[in-house]
This record gives sequence, C-alpha cells and structure tokens, in this order.
Amino acid sequence: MIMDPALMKHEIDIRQERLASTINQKGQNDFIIVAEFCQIVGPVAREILHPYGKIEELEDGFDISQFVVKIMSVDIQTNNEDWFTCIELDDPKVYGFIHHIYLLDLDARGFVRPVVVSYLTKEKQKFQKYFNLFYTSFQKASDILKQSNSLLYKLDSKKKLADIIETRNSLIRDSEEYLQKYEMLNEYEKYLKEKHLELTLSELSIENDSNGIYILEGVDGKIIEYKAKIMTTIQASPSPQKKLREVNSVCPGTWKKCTSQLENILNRLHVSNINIYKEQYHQPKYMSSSILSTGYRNINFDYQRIIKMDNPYALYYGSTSSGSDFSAKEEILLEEASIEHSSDSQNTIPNINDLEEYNNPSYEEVVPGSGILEFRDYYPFNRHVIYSILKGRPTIISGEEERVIHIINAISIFVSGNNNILPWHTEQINMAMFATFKLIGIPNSTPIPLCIKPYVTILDTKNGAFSGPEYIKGVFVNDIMSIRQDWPNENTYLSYVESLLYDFGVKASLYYHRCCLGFMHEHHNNTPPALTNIHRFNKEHPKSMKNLDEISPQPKLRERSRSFTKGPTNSFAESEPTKFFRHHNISDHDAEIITYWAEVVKTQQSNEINGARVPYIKLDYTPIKELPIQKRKKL
Amino acid sequence: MTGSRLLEIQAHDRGITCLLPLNADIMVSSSVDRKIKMWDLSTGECSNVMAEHTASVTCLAKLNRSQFVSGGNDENIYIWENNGELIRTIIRHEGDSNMNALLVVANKTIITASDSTSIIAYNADTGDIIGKENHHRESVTCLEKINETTFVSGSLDGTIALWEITDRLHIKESLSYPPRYFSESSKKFNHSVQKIVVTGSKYIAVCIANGFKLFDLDTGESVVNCPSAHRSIVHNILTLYNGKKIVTCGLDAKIKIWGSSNPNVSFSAPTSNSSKSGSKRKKVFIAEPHGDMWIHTNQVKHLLKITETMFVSAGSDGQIVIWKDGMYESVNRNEDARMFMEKENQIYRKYQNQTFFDTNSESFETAYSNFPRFDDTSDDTSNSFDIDQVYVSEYDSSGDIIEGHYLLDEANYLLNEQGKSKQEIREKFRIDGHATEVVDDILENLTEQGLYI
Repeated sequence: MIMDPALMKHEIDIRQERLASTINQKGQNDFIIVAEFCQIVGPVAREILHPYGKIEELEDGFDISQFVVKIMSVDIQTNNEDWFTCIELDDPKVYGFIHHIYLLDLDARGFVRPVVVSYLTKEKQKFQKYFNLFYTSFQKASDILKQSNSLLYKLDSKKKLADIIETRNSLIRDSEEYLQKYEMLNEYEKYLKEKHLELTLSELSIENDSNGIYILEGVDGKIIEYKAKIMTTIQASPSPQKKLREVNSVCPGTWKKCTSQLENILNRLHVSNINIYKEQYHQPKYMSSSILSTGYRNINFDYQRIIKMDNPYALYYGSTSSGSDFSAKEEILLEEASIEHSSDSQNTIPNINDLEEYNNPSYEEVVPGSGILEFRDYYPFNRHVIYSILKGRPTIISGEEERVIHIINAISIFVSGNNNILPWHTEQINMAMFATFKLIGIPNSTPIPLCIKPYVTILDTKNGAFSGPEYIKGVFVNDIMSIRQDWPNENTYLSYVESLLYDFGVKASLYYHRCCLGFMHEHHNNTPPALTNIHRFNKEHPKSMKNLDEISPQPKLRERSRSFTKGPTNSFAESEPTKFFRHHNISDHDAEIITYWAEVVKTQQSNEINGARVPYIKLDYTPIKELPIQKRKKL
Repeated sequence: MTGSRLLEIQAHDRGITCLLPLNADIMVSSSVDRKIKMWDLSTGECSNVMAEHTASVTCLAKLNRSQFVSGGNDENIYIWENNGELIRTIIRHEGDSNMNALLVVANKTIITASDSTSIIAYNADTGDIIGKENHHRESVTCLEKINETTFVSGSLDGTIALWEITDRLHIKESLSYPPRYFSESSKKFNHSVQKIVVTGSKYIAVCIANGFKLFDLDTGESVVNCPSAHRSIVHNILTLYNGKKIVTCGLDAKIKIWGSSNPNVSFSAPTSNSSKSGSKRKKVFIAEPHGDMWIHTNQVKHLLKITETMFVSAGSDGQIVIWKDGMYESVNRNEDARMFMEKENQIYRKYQNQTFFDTNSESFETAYSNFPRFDDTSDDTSNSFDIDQVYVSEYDSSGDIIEGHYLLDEANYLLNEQGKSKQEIREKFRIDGHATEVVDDILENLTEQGLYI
C-alpha cells in the first residue's frame, strides 16, 4: 500500500502537535518517537509512543518536526550499520537516546530506509544509569525489524535479478535496443550484487523454467513462483519521485512486533529510576563484557573503539558495527550509590514498599563526583585513599552517615567495575563482602574485624585516622589530587580528572595489549591473535599518546612491586610487564593501578568466555601505614 | 572452582563427622546421630539410611571397589556393600572406645586408632585380628597410609610411628617418642599430634602442638622442625608449588606459608633409592615464614589442596575460602582475554570447559584423599608465590563455637603470660573489632586455665 505523502504529513503533523503538549508533564514525560526519512517530504515521525497514550494532553514547547529533522540530518550513504548516540536539547530541556536503524529497500535511494528510534526523557540520569538497558532493549527492537527486512530485501533482490535476466533474454540480439540496454542491464546486475553485502552470490542465484517463472523462497519460508517482468526502464538508482512502500511494509509482519517491543521498553523505563534500579537489583547481575569504566563518565576502554571515535570524550557513543559489540555496552555505575544517598533508610536493599520514600526527587540532584574538590582540599592524605580505590583495594570510610555518604559520592568516580559501592552499611563487616564491594561506608560503631584490617584501607573521618598503604612511588594520583591548580568550579576540575583518567586508560590499554594479550607465558605455545595496530593510536590521538612516546626509556631497575612472600625470585629475566613499565617510565604504584585495570577487563572477558563466575577477592598484602588526620584548612 | 553452591543437603539431625564419595554419583555421610546415609549427588536425594551403629559414627573408608567400612564410638565395625547392604560385622577388640581414625590397606586390612591407645589391624574378610600394638601412651589421633604395606600413626603423647603390615603388624620405625609429654603447669600435651599428611613418598608432614615437623621416611629423621609456628595448636598442613611451600593452619585462625632455606628442596618429592646408601650426614632445613594469611575469624580446621597453586580452607567461623595464586590466575585470564579477542575476530574456537570439583564444607576430609592431584605447575617462570586471589563463601555466623574460639588462647596468653587485666583484654579485643558478646563469653571462660586439651 502506498500512502500519499501529503496526507501522511498532515496526519503526522496533527499527532505531533498533540504530543508536544505532554512533554512538560512531570513524571509522564518519557516517550518514544520512531522517525523515518521520507524521500519526498524528508524526515517524519512515523510512530509516537507515550506510556499513557494521552496524546491530547500534550503541551506546546517541543517541536517534533524540528527534532526529527535534527536527528536525521546525518549522511546516510556512508553508513549502513546501526549506531546510536545521546543528545541533549535545550528549551525545553530534554535528553534523548537515539538509535539509528538502517532498513533495506530496493526501491529506496541507496537501497536504504533510515529509521530512527528515539527515547526522550527529562531525567538526565536515566541514560547514565541504565545505559545497558536502553542499549540492549533498542538493539532488540532493531533486530526484530531487521530480521524480516533482510528476508524481504533478499526476495526483492532476487525478483529484480529475475527481471534483469528476463529482460536480457527478451532483447533481440544486435538490435538497437540490445545495444542500448545490454550494458545497462549488466551494470545493474553488478550493482545489485555489489550493493548487497549480506548476501553471497550463491544465495542470489536463482532458477527458472523457460517460461519466465522463477522459483523463489518467500519471506515466510514458503516457495513462491515469480513471473519475471520485462523492464521498460533500466535505472540502477531508483527515482526520487517514486512513491515508496510504507516503512512497515519493508518489515513484513514484524513492524507491529517492534512497536510493541518499544511499548514494553517505554512501560518499563518511563517510571522513575528507583523501579528500574530495583528491577536490576533483583535480577542476576548482568556481567557486562566490556570496557573498564572509571567513574560514572565511563572511560571507554575498548581501544578499537577509542581510535574510531571522533571525539574521545563523547559519552555513550558507540556503534554495533565491526563485530565488537562488547565495546558499546557501557557500565551501569553507581546506581546504588546515588539512590541510597537520598534515603534515610539504612537498608542497603530498598524495600518494594519504600517506593514513596525513594521517589523523593532529591536523589537526582546528587551527581557522582560532587564534593571531590572539597575532598581534595580537606584531607592531606587524600592521594592514599584515591590510590587504594584506583588499584582496587577495598576501602572503608567510617564516620557520621551524612559525611561518609558525601565523601563516598565524591570519590566514587574512581571505582572501576560496576555495582560495587555500598555507601552506608550498618551490619557487621565480613571478608566475603569485598568480593562485591570495593567502597563501603560504615558508622564508627561498627567494628572492623582484625583479620580484615590488613587487606583494606580505612578512612575514619570522625576519630581522625587513616590506615592503608601510602602512595609514594607514582605521579598519576598526585596529578589528580594536586592542590597547586586552582579551579573555577568543580565541573572544570572533574573534566580535568576525567581527562587524566582517560590518558591513563590509554596507557592501561597499551599494557593490556602488550603484556596481557601479546605476552606469551612460557607454558602456552599458541600464537597471539591479531591485535589492534597500536600505532594507529599515534596518528589519531596524538594527545593521548604524547606522554608515552616523548619518553626516552630510562633504564631504572624496578624491583618487583611487592610480594608478601619472600620466596626465591627469578630476577635474572626481566618480565614483559616490568619491561613495559620501565619503558614507559611508569612507577611502581601507578603500575599497580594499570595492572588492576587490565585485570578488571580480563576478568570481564574471562567471564564472557567461561560464563559468569563468583567474584574473587584480590588480597592486597601491602604493609599498611597508620596516619593521623591533620585537617587542612580550605585554601 | 569459584565457590558457587551446587547442592545443599540438610542431611542429618546432628553434626556430620565424615563424608565419603563412593563414585561420581553416590556419597556416604556419617553423623553423631548414629546414622549413615547414602546420597544421590545428581538429585540430592537420600537413597539409603543405615542405623546399625549404637553410638556416633566417626569414620568411613572405602574397602574396595564395591564395599566400604564404617566405625564409631560403639563396639562394632560394619562392612557395607555400595548399595547399602550390610555384609559383615566385626566386633572391635578395644570395646566402645572412641574411634579416631580408620584406615584400609591392601583392600583387605582394616586398621583402627582410638582413645584406647592401641593400634589394631583386622582382616576384613574374616574379622580376625591381625595384630594389636600398644606403642602409644595416649589416644591415637591419626593414621595415614603411605603404601599398601606401610602406614604412620600419631598420638596425643607426641609419639609418631611408622608401621609395616604383612601377615602381622609391627613397628618399622619410631619417628618420635618424647619422654615427657604432659605439662602440669599448663595442663597441656606439649607434643600432641593433630594431623599427619603424606606429602610425597619421601616426606610426611606432622602437625605437633603449636608447630610442625617434616620427616624423611628414608632416614626416619626429622628434616624440618618448626616448634612454634602458630600461637596455638596447628590443625592441618599441606604442601604447594610442588613441595616448595608448606601451608599450615591452626586454632589461632591463621593460615601461614612456609618455605625452605634451600630453594631446591621439594617436600613432595618421591623417595630416592640412592639416598639410603648415600652419605649419613643429616640434612636439616629451616622453615622460613613466608607470610600470614588471615581471613578466618575462628580456628581453621581443614585445608584441602586442589592443585599446586590452589587450596581450600574451612574454619569454625563457617567460612570456606578458596585460595589461588593471583599471578597464576592472571596468566590464565590472559588466555581468556586472548580467546575473547579471537572470538571478537570471528575465529573463536570452541572453548573446552573444564569441570571442577565442588567443595562442600563437610567434604574436605574425604575429598582430600580422593581428589586427583594435579601436577600443573612446574611453574618457575612465575616470579611470585603470592596466594592472593580468594573466594569466600557466604558467611555463616552460626558456626561460632565459643569453646574453640581462638581468642581464648589469645586471652589466656595475655592474662597469664603478659599479666594483663581482664579489663585491658576486653578493651584490646573491642578495638580489634570483635563482637561484644563473643568477648564477654571468652572472658567468662577465662577463669579456667588451659580450657581445651
């Protein structure tokens, strides 16, 4: 069925007007827009989903047409793979998760029908916190569409090929028409085959009986007979004036399925954070196979991805192409932290019945990392605490609830991995907890068992004590915590910290490739797989690399970091990691952080290969130092 | 081997004393409730209950491929078919003396050790006594098989004897025979043997009072003597890294690692024939402390070696900890990471999953003797021997037993040897992070000196 574009445009305009009015309504402000690129009228919204379906109540203020034009203004010809991005719109302030899907259509320009699914919300933190959920849900919806779409496209291509063959056969050899068309037909056929990357040529081969009847496999798997048509015009690229099928006809049978999938997503996600949080908490924890995330801003740790990114700091940017979908899955971080901040309840797991309490919007105001500048200025030993967190040593902050939670929020940006912060815990502490939690807040009344003390770092904010390893041999944490720099505000400082983490992440990635993937243990004789070409880093990200390559290797013999056992060591052969750290002039304590980060990535990948495992605890036997608190006056 | 719980069975009314896996599907358990039960491990269902014993059942052992034997604190030893059918009853010669250990050698001889101080050998086919020897002066606490004709026994009095059994039972060598073994002042057995472990065919490791010794079976000499390894008695011992490291655990809740002064010695080495005729010079090695590993909050009773870089510890605090060499695991993860990247590159080949043995808290003792020993680390490329990657089971505080709490020993030490007051001890324990109730209980028990043993 071909729909009159003008009529369609009109109908959509009406719906858009209605929709715009709901956007400002609190609590109901999430909706999904499915837009497509119409060849005649340009980008239009195709479906608008709203959890309550009350499109009549929508208010003005949000221009859907403008929004759709904005998100679809991308060069579609260069990219046929799904990709997604997050955007922020002003006036009204709306945040969007945008998933671009490319459907195939033989009639369309470039054989591509771009469809964009956008989730719009006023709650900024939703994407930050539940990115995985958005990503996987939308990916699922996209897969549903593409499934039938590719079958149809395959069928259409075969029909077109049949037509070409039939037309070619109909030509009278050496006639004028023959001379005109034969070459064009061949070009068309070649073009068709080339353009279709997903099909092999053998799949495109078709059989016919002599009457121009071709036996093809239909979209539903049934065998159909196709009577090939003789083409009157031969044109490889379709006419822009040609009316296209409706986009739902391009995905026979699954458009509806996709829409209901999107409705499900909306119903699930439009509710406030706490419900999603709870849903996740009570589900088995999803072991994300991905990147090392450092802080809520998620330093993307897929190196292949980093080098492809236009802007290395772009958050939540990714693509499903190139088969490395693990890269795009971002960690969901700190959800527990920020939710529990708001709560006066001392339960660590929110009770279903406490919904009202958690729905208090104040928790949304807690931004992870806020208070970090204060932490930097207030405690002279801050670097030792940050060092412990960065190298994965369990860290306990004790004191009064408000203060502890405040500090934990500030330093939570340095915690790697996911779901591992317990901002306030009033029960007895035991060792098993450290398999999951790396940063824990407790009241002073909770004793810390003697057998745990050697393996944790403790910051007692009330009684004035620090107990843990000191950060001496390193520069990275000193750069982060340096008080020599004055910052206009905390956001500027946070960006600075983020850039340092990013730079350090690149070093860690290099380590991962050189020493974990590349370094062959003598036990194993297999050859390493093809690795990312590290030199590409240099070209595309000179900034990230300058520290590494400007360094001239200084032969400084480094002792093995520390071993609680003083056994015989084979010091005659310098190990690959030792060589790496020496070459890049990375000192001992920074090396520990890099090693830990690589270990986090490896553990995630190992879980991916072997199935999720019970998390392990890495005991850190570094001797601890007890320091008294000397409060530093604010500068 | 990650500590995930595969099966949980509420098996007996009272404490379980012994677990014996007959094969991959059937496990036998014995209990203080006088019953023996058989379990289908695939379903967790009880397939048989045997209630012949009239007192606690304390020992189970495999007799041969189709039979097993049980013993306890009553007058009889029973021999069972693997299907639970009773084959034979052997009347114990020492009466109903508490049975501490039961050993089967050569698939036909049953040896028992009990509080009666006798070592008795029975012919399993006839029930006749092969031999009865009263070498030990106190309860015989452990028996350990060396080969089909020799075994070793240890006693509360510190005597350790190597026995040979052919058609009769006789002492091959007395490894240790301390003249005075009981301290009147501390009311303790100074040389009590808690555990003997055969680390290879050449060496045995013995937990003696607060320390441990290693004996060379070729010469009968003690080659390592570490008398005060722990603050209180040592419960268990094992070797790691192909015999280069010794691990001990004890009542003081600690696990300690020891290495030899000679880096080339291996305490899990097989016996060498040449050494007997070799030099008569006595070889002695010093056990150097290589580190304390402290996670348990109460005494650590069991250690179970899984591989040369991995072992399991179980404590009275209800925690089970799997210890691994972090460096070794990290290298393994490199493999996984490579595999992952290969998979990403579409050349992923099917990874062969290894199946691992699951460890339930009670199964250590028997699993220890049944689990195959891996020899997967001729790992000299590893720079370190850090056992630093651990998995901790769910914490179960109900496992706390005050009488055996290691703090008692600590408190005794502070009170009697350091002359600290009870209040000072209370304060110290509080600062150390122990629960008030536990500290109170311990101080209440402190009036009696040398409460245990």
